[in-house]
Amino acid sequence: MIILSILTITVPVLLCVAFFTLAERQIMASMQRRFGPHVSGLGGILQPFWDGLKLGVKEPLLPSLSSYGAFSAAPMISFILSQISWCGIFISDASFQGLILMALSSLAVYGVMLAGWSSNSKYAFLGCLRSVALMVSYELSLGVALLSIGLFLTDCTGMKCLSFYEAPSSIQFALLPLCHIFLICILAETKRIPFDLPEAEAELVAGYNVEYSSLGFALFFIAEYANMAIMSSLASIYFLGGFSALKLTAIFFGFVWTRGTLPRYRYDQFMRLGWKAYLPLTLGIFAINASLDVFVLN
Amino acid sequence: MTESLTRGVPGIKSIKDLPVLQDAPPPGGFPTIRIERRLPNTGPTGAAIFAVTAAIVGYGFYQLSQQKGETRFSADEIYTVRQIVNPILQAEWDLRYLEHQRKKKEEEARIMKDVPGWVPGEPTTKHRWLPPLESWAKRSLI
Repeated sequence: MIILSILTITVPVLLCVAFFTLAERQIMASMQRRFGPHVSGLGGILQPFWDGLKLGVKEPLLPSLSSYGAFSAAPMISFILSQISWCGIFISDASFQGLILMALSSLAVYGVMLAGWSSNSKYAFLGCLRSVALMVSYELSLGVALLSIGLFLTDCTGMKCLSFYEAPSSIQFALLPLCHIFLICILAETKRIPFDLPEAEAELVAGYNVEYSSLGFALFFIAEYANMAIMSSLASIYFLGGFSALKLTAIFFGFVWTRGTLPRYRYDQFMRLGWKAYLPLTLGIFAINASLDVFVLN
Repeated sequence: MTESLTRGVPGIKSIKDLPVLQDAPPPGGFPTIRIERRLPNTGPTGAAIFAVTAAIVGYGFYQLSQQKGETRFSADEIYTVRQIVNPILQAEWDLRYLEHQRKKKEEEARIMKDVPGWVPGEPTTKHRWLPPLESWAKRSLI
């Protein structure tokens, strides 16, 4: 029974991740006026499965000077946390679901940190430090945004709770600036363009997962897309009036659109943005919303 | 030779008779290419965008206040119902508790009827001293 409930979450998430990768490649190709995957299967629909098979049959490399335990554990940590976050949305009915997800996204930092540190490579280590700094900086703004959202989430008795089932439907109008900030912070949390300096470094032979091959890399890849899907579902729950596949797909399209449109931020630019722009802005919005909640709405 | 075959000009005897082909601009020259930036200065001003956003946010808070009114009404209803119903529920629970205590005491009296000096219902730690933790461990579990 436990295995069945695990599979009920894991299998759809993996399928979702697989087709998200295909969708991303097709959308990027359309934006760049070229062909995407169109050879394997009808319209390239089997491409993700062949990609997964390719990654599975590759030779797994274990650098001799790396820390074996942490090196092997890091992708597993990232993957497991991304799956548990989905359980946090769908299985839990606690009044603090938002807190659970924030805690899990904070723990996801450890997967990245262990990967970069255990690789025993200077470039991997620098990449992991930058990734960790990025994720931690934008998690702050995300948490403060959640505070503002939590002001308006109440259960039937008027108690404040962060449950996803009680979000009022007009929150997207009242918190429109916060919606924009939330979407940008989840771009940064998932290390997507324009905040993908840590990942782009992989193109330049750097980045926290440079030493990984085969399934280790595949697990990081899956964890990244699963995190993207979780953050999209959070945004649709809080700001678009509930969870649905269409809203999730629309936000994911926004992710890919941003990737196809914008250049990359430099390290100092995104740190400045996170600490000197978004954090004061979200704190200010929280102060205003709290005052409105106390003096106007009550 | 191939040039003369492919270009097919009749009557030529060698490649030197072929017309000269140069990659040159078309007659009249290429059209001019605009290279300077001409960013459009049209569209809404910052103040207009701010005003529209403020209007949307204001509308959202108005909707939220309406919804909060409904939530407050339902919360008041729930609390009122609890205030009325809770004494009855507590009384029922108390009756069941007392009944359970009585049965427990009778059972204890039946089991310990042959033990001299045993008073049913008396705490077992009455005649000796135990440190607080252990006496807590020996409390009756209800």
